Amino acid sequence: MAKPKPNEIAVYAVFEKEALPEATAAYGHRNGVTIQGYEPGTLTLRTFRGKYDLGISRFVGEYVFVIAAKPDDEAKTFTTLPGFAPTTKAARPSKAQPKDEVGNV
Amino acid sequence: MSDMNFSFSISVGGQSRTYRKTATATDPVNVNAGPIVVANGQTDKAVSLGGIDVSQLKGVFIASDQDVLIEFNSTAGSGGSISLEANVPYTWMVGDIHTLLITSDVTACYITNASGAEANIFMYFLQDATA
Repeated sequence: MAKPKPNEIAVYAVFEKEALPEATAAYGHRNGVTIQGYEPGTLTLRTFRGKYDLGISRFVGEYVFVIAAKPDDEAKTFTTLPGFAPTTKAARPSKAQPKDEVGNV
Repeated sequence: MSDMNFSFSISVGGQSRTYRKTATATDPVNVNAGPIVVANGQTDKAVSLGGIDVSQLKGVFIASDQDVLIEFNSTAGSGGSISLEANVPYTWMVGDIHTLLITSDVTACYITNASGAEANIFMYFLQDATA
């Protein structure tokens, strides 16, 4: 897999071919829930990129998200993606979130 | 007479070698397709590929500039499936040590692209009507 650009993150995912349209429908939409520590509205799904594994009959790859400078409450959002469960736990601090909102002062 | 010529080169450890092999048909039928453009995220793009008799096939060459899934005859790959890697052609000719991945006469194929970029695919089939 290609390395994400500096303003992107990539998240591993595996799903069946039939789920690809559900993933593509979310292209250009922002996260409605926290993903990898990034607060809602701060990640735009650019694409899924992967290769089909005939042994397990699934696409294996990663979702690529573009990190926004600030949340956008007006943007269309997604809350789930095939083969990947967004977490509500902060895996790492969000740069987009003010420190006083996470009690980190 | 018609030929389908394959050429393979390797360069490693300061050594380079090239190998060639040829599939020949006395009563040739060529079925070519491409460039077939498949958008990123497209599922099961139908491509008309009628007229391929698997028992008459002498050579096959399929290449893509992105990772794609190619399924023959149905969206479930009832005539065989190939998970093609970007810029790594699938080749087969009579006498190959590996098995032909197309398992029955081809009436259509379906291509799914989840590579992250638009894919361009080329397909070449050589068959011999006298076989």
